[in-house]
Amino acid sequence: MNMGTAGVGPEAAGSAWSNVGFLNRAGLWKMVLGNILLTTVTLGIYRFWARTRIRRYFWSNITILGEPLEYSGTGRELFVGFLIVVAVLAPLAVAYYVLQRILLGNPVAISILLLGYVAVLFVLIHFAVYRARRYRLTRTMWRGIRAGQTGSTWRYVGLAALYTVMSVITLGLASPWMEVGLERHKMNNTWFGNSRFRLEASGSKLFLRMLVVYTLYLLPVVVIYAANWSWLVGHFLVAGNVRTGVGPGLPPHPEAFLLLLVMIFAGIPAVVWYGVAKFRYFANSTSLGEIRLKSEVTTGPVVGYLIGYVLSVIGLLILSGIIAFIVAGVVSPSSLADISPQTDPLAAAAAFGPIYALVGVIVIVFYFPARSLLFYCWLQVSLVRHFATTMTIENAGEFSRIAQSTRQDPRFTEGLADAFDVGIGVG
Amino acid sequence: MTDRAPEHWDGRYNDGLVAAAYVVRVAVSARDLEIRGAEGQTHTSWPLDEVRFIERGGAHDHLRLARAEHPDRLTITTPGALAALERLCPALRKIAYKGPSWRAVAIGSAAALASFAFVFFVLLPLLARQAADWVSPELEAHLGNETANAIISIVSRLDDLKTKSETDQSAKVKSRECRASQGIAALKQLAGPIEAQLHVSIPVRIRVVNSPILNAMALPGGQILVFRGLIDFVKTPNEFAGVMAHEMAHIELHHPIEIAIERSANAFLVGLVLGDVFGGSAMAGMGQAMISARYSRDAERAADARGIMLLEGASLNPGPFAQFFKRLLEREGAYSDVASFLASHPATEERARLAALAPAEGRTALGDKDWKALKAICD
Repeated sequence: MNMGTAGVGPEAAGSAWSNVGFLNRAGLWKMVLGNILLTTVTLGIYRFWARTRIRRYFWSNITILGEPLEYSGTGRELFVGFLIVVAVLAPLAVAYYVLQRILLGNPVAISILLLGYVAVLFVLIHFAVYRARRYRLTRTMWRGIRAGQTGSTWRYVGLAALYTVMSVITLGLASPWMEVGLERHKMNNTWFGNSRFRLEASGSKLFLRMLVVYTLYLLPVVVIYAANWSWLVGHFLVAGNVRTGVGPGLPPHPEAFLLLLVMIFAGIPAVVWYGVAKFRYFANSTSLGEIRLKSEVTTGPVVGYLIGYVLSVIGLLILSGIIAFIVAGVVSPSSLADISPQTDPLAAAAAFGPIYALVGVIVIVFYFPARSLLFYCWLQVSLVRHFATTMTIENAGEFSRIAQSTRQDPRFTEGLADAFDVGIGVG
Repeated sequence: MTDRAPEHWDGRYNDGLVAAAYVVRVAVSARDLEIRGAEGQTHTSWPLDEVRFIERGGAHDHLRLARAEHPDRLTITTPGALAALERLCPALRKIAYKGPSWRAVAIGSAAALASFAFVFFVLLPLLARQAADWVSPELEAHLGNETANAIISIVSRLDDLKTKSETDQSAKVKSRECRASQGIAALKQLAGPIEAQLHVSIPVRIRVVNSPILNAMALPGGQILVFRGLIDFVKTPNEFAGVMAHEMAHIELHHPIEIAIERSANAFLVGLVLGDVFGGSAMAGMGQAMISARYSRDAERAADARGIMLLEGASLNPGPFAQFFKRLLEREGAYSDVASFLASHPATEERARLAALAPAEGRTALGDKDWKALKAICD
């Protein structure tokens, strides 16, 4: 037999551990640039096909027993879903927008409106999260067998509402139970073929870690705010001013910079440390019949990738500014010299017109593409690779006993449901 | 046999029934791909025109194939199969997945368009009319100021661009609002009797902008912007009074706030559809949206009729207002760049006739001396 590849033939059942792989297929940067170009040219309509291509790429990079996952969704499907959502939501959105604009002066009416808005948004978001997950799972195949998700979406929304109230009452301390509860509802309704996943986890296992995040991240933020309560009050006042458009702006304050530093260098590590541990815990508590998952994913690389990305984006912004300044100097050196704060602001605005245009061009031609390349070709690839290659599967031989399900896959035509494809990419 | 020998490839096969992989050998016949197991038994055969390409590459440069709209998958590990398959399978590069039909796209588009039409032509006008009653006077006044400032700023920028060569720094700095005190007094004297007829909750505020544009516009919050071009164009006090009465009628009928709400909601909707491509740029504020605002024919007709009533109520002779429209009609085309009033208030024969219908009796709005002061308000 001259086949020479691993993982072929109905595997002998055993308790061997099999690795999950990542293929590093070539050509992602071309795909990303093409997507940006086409999405810009089509005024955004191409974004559904762009998203589909990106997903297909990432799915096909992850291998189990040497066989890649396959994404079978289509751009047209997402587009039709979007059309249906627009048809339903456009009147609601416009009505809300108009009411919100005109009721600004009426505190009672605006409060009622905002409460209603938050409630509707909460339901829509959780509804969408569950349905989007279903959409993505039903479009995920491996070895020709489809995954899927069952279970009531409304029950999920109800659970989310209950847990959210609980979390709010306990000032977030109950949030591990919320995360576990929602994940359990999702995983216990997740299928591969005719075999159902099972999650056995408890919120108490995550609680201590969450307390650490609380002290490491939330505390510094609270302290910074508390130590500068006057600035905090100013912050709120300005937030109010931004809504009504009247009143003075906020003077720049060093604490804002400090807050940014804390968020990057304390916040990201703390939150990632928690998130990674949660992922590991969930993976290790998940089973599919006799098949078990095991994740040994570590925090360090994830933190490195994320902070690296944030700093690169900041660097890109600075670079864009430098480019804009140089180009503006070359194109019309006088327009920069002319403007002083003493001159008429209108005249300054007129002189700045071309500079606005220039900044727009630099953002579209340089900043957006560069940021997207960084995001997909570096951050996203690194993260998916790290999470995939630290995952192993026990009893993978059992896969060959799993049969195709006879479940009817939901089509977009089921209505609003699958149209809510809110997740970005790889989730 | 003289038939050319069929090609053979090695690979693995997923039958779409269980999550197993079978070692297979693939043979090409005239019409099918025959997929045979290790013992030579036939798993299945795929018609050549149903073979679809999924992907190639990865660690071993394997080629993955699907049968159209079937779950079974074939991975060919022998190099070089793709070139042969490109030749053999006419629909190899078609998409393997069954997405929605173009009919579904058409239905979805129709639904979205119908919804948009409903929003634009039914819901928004309805909401805007209703909303005009709910807006608090403070908010409306604030909105009016915001809008007026935006318009003055943009108009000045345009003027500056046109006359770039002549303007020096001092001209740029010069204020755009005309405030000659005698002119202001005359303006008040002219507008007062008309305003006294109005049923409004916010007092009317008339501002004159130093710009050659031939236009006047009513804004939310009871503001009226008059451009110097219009003051230069009008020949008699009552022509001007007619224009003022017309704009005040718009205010009394809530037209400015209605159109401001409609416009900004439109901008919001566009932002919704375009997604994040242009970020917040599509979310134009109410002020910006007002600039290109144009009233419907019905709104103009209502303002004309009410305007003439206001003139009559103030015992002013509406006759010259008809002359004003006639002169505008004659001027149309001659000065396309100052024809703004024509753009936002189309001077139709009908309007001239309507104005002419009113009995041409009543007093003159201003004496000679005050009229001269008003004409010189920007000097």
